[in-house]
Amino acid sequence: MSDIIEKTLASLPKLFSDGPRGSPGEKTMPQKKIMGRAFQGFLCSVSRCRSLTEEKTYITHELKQIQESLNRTDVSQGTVGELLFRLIYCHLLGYDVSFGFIHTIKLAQQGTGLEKRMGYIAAILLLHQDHELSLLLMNTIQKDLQSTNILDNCIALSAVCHLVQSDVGVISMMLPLVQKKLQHPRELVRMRAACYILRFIRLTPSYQRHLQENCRKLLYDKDPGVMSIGVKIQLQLLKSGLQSIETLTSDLCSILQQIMNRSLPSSFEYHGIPLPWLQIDILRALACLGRENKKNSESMYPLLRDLLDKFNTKARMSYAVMYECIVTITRIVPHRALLTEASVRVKRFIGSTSYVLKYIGVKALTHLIAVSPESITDCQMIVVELLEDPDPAIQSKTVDLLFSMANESNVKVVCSKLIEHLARPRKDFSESELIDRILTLTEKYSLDGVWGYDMVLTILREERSGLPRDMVDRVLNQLSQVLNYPRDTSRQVPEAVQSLVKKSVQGLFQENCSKELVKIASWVLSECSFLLKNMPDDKVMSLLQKQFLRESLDTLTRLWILSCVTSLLCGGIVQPGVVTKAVRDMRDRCVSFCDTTQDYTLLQKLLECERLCAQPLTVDPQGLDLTQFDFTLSYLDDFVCDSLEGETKPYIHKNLRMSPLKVDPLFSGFAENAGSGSVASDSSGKPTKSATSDSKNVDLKLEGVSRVWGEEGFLEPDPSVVDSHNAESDQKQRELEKKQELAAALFSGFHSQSKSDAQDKEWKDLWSEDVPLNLNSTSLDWRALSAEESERKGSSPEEMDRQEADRQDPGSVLLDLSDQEKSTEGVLSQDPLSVDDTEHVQQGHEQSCGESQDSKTTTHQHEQSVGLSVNQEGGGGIQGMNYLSREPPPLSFESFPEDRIQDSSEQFSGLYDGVEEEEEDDSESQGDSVYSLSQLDLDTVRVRGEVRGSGAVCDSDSDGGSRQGSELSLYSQYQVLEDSHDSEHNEKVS
Amino acid sequence: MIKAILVFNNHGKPRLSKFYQYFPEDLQQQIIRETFHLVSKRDDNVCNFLEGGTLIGGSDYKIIYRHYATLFFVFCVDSSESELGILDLIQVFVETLDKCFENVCELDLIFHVDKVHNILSELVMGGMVLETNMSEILTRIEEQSKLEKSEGFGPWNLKSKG
Repeated sequence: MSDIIEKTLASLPKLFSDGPRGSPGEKTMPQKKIMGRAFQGFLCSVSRCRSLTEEKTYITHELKQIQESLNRTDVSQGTVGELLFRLIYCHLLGYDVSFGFIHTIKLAQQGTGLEKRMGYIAAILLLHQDHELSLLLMNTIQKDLQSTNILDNCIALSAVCHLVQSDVGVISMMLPLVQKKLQHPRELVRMRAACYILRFIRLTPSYQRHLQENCRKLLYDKDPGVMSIGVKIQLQLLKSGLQSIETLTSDLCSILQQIMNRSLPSSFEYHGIPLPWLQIDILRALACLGRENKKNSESMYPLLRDLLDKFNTKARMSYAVMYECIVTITRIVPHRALLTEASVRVKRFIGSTSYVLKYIGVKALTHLIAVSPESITDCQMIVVELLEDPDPAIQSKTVDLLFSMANESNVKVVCSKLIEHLARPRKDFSESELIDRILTLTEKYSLDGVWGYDMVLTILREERSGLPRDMVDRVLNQLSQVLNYPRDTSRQVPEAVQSLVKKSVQGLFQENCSKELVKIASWVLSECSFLLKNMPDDKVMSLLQKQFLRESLDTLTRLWILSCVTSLLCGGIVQPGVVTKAVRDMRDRCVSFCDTTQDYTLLQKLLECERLCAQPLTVDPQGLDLTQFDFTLSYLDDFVCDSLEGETKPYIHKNLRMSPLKVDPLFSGFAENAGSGSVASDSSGKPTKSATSDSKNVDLKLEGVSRVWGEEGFLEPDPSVVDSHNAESDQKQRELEKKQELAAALFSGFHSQSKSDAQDKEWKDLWSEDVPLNLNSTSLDWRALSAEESERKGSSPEEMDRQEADRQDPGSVLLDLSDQEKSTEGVLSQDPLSVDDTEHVQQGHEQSCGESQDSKTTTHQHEQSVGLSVNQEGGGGIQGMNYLSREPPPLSFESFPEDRIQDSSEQFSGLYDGVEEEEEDDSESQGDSVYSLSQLDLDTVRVRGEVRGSGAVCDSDSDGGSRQGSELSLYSQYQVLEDSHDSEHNEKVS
Repeated sequence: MIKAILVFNNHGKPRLSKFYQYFPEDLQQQIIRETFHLVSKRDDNVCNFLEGGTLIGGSDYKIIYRHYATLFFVFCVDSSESELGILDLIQVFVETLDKCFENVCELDLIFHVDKVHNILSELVMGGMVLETNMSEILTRIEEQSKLEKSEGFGPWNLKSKG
């Protein structure tokens, strides 16, 4: 404050000395005079005030004086203008100046030239469209619109733009006048008239058709300023979905072409870029025009490419145009080369040191990812860094990006990141948006209910004000899918359900969890009450009681808890005695803290509970024998007949009624309990494999994907480089690795998606070879191991037993693996293809060597070795898996039993079909052997020989050498793809 | 669409406010305070865009600002505006002011309110960007003053009671 005063005082002499002549910079003498000494004195005294109260007393005093002088009849218009600007200043400071409104209108009406202008400016600032006094100005505006004075026209148009919006009568009066002004000879006036039209069609879309002809002409105006507003109008029309002019695309393109060729005068350039704002608008319009319109899009491609190529300047404005260009490219019918080009530019944006450009880059990437998911793989590291960016604006944009790039394989990582962001302080609306996004993701990609429930519990750990309104319903909806498993006494309850219940109980143990959590958890408990049998009665009850008595809960939540209590009681989970005690206690306490406003709903419910305890109505949903029940309700026939003969209406099915009754969530517990008996018996006959096989499936899937990790495109930096660094860089390296891990997890899905990209033929070809190749590598692997195994066959019987045990539970090894990879579990379900591979291969194993016991153990040995090698890699998840999946097939078939070859000759040929094409160009010896293997099905005898031959070749080779060779050949495609990453990471490291 | 243009100094004292969407007066003051609160907390080296103002339009609302010496120039816009475009529009506005007042300072904004509003009305009209060409704006301002002079409005005291 004080330095302002100082400045003010310091500048005073200058202002006073310049006085009526105006300061050197002033070009308008009259204005200077109006803003005379009195005005300056007023401003000085205001800024001299030391405190708010002082300022207030001074200004209220001053306002009174202003009011008095305004009301005098003999005051000059110049003085009125000056007084009005004092009012504007007071208004700026937040004082009520409504008494002056009428004077602004008066001045606009009676004044001429400058005073009129001042009156208008004051009126525009102080009045608004719905103000009753603004009607008084309309007549003046109308007169000034018809005036020959250009300046009057201009200021009147400004006033129209600000003050005429909603009143239909006034609009119909003004619109013809404004339309006439569109033909005005001066562009100054045309532009303002066009601007009014733009604002008008934005606010009242119903008039758009009416004005279309006028708008079209604006587009072809000879003045670039008017034309750019014409383009804006077209953009607005396009956005509201109105049929556009047929030639619009070519017109806009030609305008853009002219701008790019700099055929406009250089005065229209801004920092060396011609008409950048117009370019932005044209690009936006093109984006609308090219959307799902192949013909239009095709006509833009060359132009857009030109535009991308031309950007090389350093000006920020050129980045604005480039961003718009990229967005346009992503909106129109996709063009592969343009998208690639765009992704290169986006990378430059994101990698920029300027925060503004980073922000724009993240936005551009969000657009880009929607059409070409593979483009993000180039910038994964940068995105991971952006997540930790100190700037909240960039963070929030990155969150948008994360949300849009979520897919099946990375959704867990994405969600955990979103939750991390939730912990940061933010505004209500963005919090609710964020939670909504997390919920959407869990619903969309719910692998199993448990994970989604985990997310929900984490969100609800504390009270949040910004929860989406329908959150509880959405969560319950999701959970009911998990809980809807076939109930059968003989079967074990699925693990997912068990963990749901466990988590709910844990959630209720929290003292200050949100009430939504209490609702959801008590719902889960009442749904799966039978799982609580092992818990001591009093413990369950005290848990519920504690939650019930929390002061922050509302009645509705308490009712949820009570319905849970009832359902526990009816399910026979808790003893009536315990409940009675607890309920009594609750009622007493309830009365004590609800005494101001008796909560009768709650009291009634408590009483009901108590009564229920006295006569417990226990239903064992699993022990019901349905044959004992009369479901036709025949015993009620007499009653129904009697009623119908009386006045009663016949029963109408719920669905046939006009407004179906909504089932209160309160009673959900009851309904379910009553119905569960029939459900259980209904489904008891069916084979119930879905629940158990489900969880198994998930495991399998996860496993399959973790293998693909290595191919995912994330290259670890060369170990030798790491070694050469000192301790500090080691630290950095570790951080980098962490980030890389995160990046790998986040970006896991994108390669698999790019596979299905039909546009890029070259890529498609490469990827299409992927499946058979994978198959080969695994099968060969196994065969090699079988050789080793046959040597070791005579090992200790304990080991055999262990292997046998492993055999019985093949899932356990897989599970272990995925456990080890916990940090990277986001990747686990990357590629459904590879899941098929594993299964396929396993089938292959069993087929080809079905009878022989030792070959079976071979399989386990292989699996074990998988586990082992991961261990050896020392938990370095990426590298371990990488290595594994890349491990070349050592081709040692020497000890392969001949009879088995015969059996599985067909299998061989199938397996090798893919290799044939792929490896032909490779090293002679290997290529030969493989090639000949592919002909196995013709002649088994020959096969034997060939196999032996190939074995010999491999043996003679040094082991490592052969590995390297085959790795090269098998994975060459990945290396090509990963070259860019590689160099990037190396840069990072160095 | 631009919802509001606010200028305040480093202490949060408003120097210019223009709302293109109607808000009651007390809400206007609140918006100015909130915006100042949001903007002043930020470092100079972070990006010039800001989301999170709750008073205007919620999530569809963005604050784009620049900081010049003692003044913050803040444009409150909705999502239909190009961020970088608005950022440079602020630059155009400030450069125009600078040309008009020769080294514009904070005090110019309050001592020449009328002129500042004049310039602003050339730049933005009813929330829409009207003219972005600085030389064009300058010639128009000059033209206006010339016209006023030539049409003889200069000595208005003739018309007053005098």
